[in-house]
Amino acid sequence: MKRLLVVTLLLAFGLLALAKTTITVWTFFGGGEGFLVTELLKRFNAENPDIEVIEQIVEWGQLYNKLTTAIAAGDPPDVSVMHLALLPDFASRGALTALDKYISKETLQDYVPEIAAKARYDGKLYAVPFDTHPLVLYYNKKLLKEAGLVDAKGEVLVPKTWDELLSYAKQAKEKLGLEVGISSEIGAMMGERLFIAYYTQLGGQIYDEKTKTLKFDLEKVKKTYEFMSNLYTSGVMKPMTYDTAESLFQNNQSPFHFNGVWVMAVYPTLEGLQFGVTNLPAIAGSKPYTWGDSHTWVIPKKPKDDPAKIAAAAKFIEWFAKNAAEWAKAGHLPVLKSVLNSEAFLGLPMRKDYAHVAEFVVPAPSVKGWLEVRIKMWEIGEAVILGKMTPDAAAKELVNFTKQVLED
Amino acid sequence: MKFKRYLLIAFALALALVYLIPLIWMTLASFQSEKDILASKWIPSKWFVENYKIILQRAKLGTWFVNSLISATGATVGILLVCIPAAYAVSRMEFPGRKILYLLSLTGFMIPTQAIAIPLYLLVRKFGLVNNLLGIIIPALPSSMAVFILSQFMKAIPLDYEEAARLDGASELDVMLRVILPMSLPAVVTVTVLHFTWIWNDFFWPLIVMTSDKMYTLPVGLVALAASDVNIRYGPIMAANVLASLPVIAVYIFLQRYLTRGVVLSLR
Amino acid sequence: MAVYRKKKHTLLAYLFFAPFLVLLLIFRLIPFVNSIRMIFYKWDIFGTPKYIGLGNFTRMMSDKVFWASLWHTVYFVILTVPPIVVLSFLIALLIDSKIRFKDFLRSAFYLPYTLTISVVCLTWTMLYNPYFGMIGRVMKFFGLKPISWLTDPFWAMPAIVITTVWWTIGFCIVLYLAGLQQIPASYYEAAELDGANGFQKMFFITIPLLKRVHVLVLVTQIIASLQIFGQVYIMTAGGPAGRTRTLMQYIYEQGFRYFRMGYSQAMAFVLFLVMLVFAYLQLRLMIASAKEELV
Repeated sequence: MKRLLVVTLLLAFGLLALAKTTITVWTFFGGGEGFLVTELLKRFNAENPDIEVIEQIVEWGQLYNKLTTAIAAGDPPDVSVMHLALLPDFASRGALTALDKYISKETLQDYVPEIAAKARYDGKLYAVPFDTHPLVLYYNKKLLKEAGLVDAKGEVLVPKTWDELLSYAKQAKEKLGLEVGISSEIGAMMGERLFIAYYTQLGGQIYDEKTKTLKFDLEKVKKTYEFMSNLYTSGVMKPMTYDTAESLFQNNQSPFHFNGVWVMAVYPTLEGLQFGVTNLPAIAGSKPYTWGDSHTWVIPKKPKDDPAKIAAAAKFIEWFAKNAAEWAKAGHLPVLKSVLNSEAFLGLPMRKDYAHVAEFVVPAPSVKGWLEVRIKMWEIGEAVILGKMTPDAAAKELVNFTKQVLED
Repeated sequence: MKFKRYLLIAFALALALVYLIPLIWMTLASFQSEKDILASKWIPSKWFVENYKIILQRAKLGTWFVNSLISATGATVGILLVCIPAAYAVSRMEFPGRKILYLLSLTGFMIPTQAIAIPLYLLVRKFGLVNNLLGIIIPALPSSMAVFILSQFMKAIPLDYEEAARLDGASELDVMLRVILPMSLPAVVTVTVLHFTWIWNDFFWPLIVMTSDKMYTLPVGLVALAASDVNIRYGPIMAANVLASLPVIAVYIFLQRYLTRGVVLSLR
Repeated sequence: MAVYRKKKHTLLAYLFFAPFLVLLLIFRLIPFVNSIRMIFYKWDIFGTPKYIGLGNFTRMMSDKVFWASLWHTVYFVILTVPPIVVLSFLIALLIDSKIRFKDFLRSAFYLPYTLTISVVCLTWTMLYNPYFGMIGRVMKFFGLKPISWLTDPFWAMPAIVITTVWWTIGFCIVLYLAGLQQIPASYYEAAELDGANGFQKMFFITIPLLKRVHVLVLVTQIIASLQIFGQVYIMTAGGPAGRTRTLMQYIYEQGFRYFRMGYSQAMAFVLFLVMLVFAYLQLRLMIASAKEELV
């Protein structure tokens, strides 16, 4: 009798193991973010014993190449992370599975409106966003106090306009004998992110509703490049790499710092760093628009749809989005209203200071080809900053290049 | 006269020391906290072993090292197994079409991996070898360099040895394994060292072929580490560098005598 | 006495050669043929390839970035190869001259060559950092303003060159040392009897007799430099502002990032043609020297 019971139990476990649907997920999250993802995965697996989610970490710079070749070859992962900005490049090629019938209505209605629209291509839902990460301004309280940039109450003066920022940065730099007034990486941070923020504040549009394509306003592009070039020719900023920009700010050698919100996973933990975070300054008369992108989960298209796997995958990604308060520890902003307003999220350090930035995020244009254009923007931005291209030539280059990519 | 010699020795030693500064700094920096590094210190203010702890805990250094070891060893052994008989056939056997096959074997020189990267990748993908160490090993096996070096050396071995063996009743296989191969040892060593180093240090192909970070080889893994983890910066990266280099340096110190000998002989 | 004649073992010979041949065919020759075919098509890995004749070449001709990349590659070769040849020769001479500590010196210079490319590039990236890198510190010591090497459009390529030369010399030094050892001492003695001084000995004996090594080092380094990828990818990713983008980097970007397969392959073909010239030279010279030995 006992033996029969044991055998039956073993068989049952065996069958249960077989009945598990295994889902592979590709992410590019390493370090602190990686730990959060692993934690969440463990939790999901525990709560859903019939599904097992296995994670594969692919290097950030390689994920999109590898994903593309995997989809083309017919054996992509069941789920992959994807930046919202690149959704059109993939969806337009039929590389993704439509998710309309898998994600619950209540979740879809819970989304911050701008995000929900961008997760669609050609009317269909292709991605489940779980955060947004805008470009913000960091300021070093210790340095600003030392430089005397405080108000009557002794509180640090937070710049609201670009002129204020530049003036404070210059003051602090000169008074304290620092290398720079604002530290930032020159490639993506300046060439794409700051560019989009300032360009949009000028009233510039990237996406043309009529032609449904990318279209830059030449004059406004030129003005933006002039602004960027000025930041460096005035000496307030110097060209540097991403890690140097962070190091200078973290070690009290730069009063201001441009970066995304993702560093909030680390900065609050650093001893000796007293800092604040706020939205980017705005041009007088404009809202403080800023660049931002979103991480989403997508389900790549396979040659043959496996409904069980797709359902399991969809279950996972919806669960993840709803539990994004945990993920928000990495610094990103949740995109579901319920999470954004939850205690779990608002209780995290300094989130109240920048949660409002989400409404000023300029969404990336939902156009195929954006991947290539924005990488070119990094290069053109660098050329302008390094004095290798005049703002005028750079503006023409950007507009021409965009035309070329769209015609390809 | 003597003074000139001492001057020369001093100069040479100084030059060698300056030449090694990057390595010396790398080792010293691996023990420095970020504050020390940002202050451009030479000697750490305190020996910060935390860097090593972080790397050993969080980075998959061991996995990458094993991947590199398996792919480099597997490929080298495979190359020997495949190319030694080929070199022997083309250099010491008589058969119709020998010259053509010899020339064919050299075509590999004309076709560097970079030139065929895309079709090769698609092919490897078709065989299901992507994200697999075999995807590194198998395409590396047909090495024209190996066949050339081995055949050149084998050709030069006088016929007498072979004749003697045959008189004792040796078969072709016996001759290859018991007579020619032992006498070709310098060439074999050269081929082994060259290919092992080459595959160990290869960056481009493993970058393309490997998808998940568990399968990276050491060079690719190190770069991915430096690029992706915001907590692993300067000090820990240098610690990773030191850990990654120790085994190779140890092997080199052990083998260096044979290396020069092999190079000398292969130059002939 | 009977003359020893080799028996014909045709089947066995083919058997010995077969594994190599099959692998060569599958993993070298067939991809090569495919790569040539791909040049005439437009294909983005998702759809079906479209025949466009010489379209990729016309695109190449008017592509500023292609020409820039080609120039950067040539520039890199010009900056890298002469120093490697000259420096490794001189250092080998130094080590080989009758001074002590030969083993230590040879090991010291060879050591960097044993490191992997990532270790070399990551370390040098930090050395080049203008704010806390050692090179900057040394420059400050001499009263110079530190150069922001890797973000400076002019200095970025030289920075990569310096790192590459530092990494590669070790191997070439060993080659030269081996070659120097083969020069009989009697030659120098005879020259001394004729009253030759140090310089004359070097120019009329050493350098000419090392011809084979010169050629070997020169050709292998040129071929390697033409293909350079790792250092650029790791240290500058082709920047700043695309100023260090080599042809190989551009081929990689177009092929593996933007999936312009046909275009990428067409450019790889151009690179391959350039390398073919040098590879052929190398082969001719290697065979010639091998023949010399057998005579």
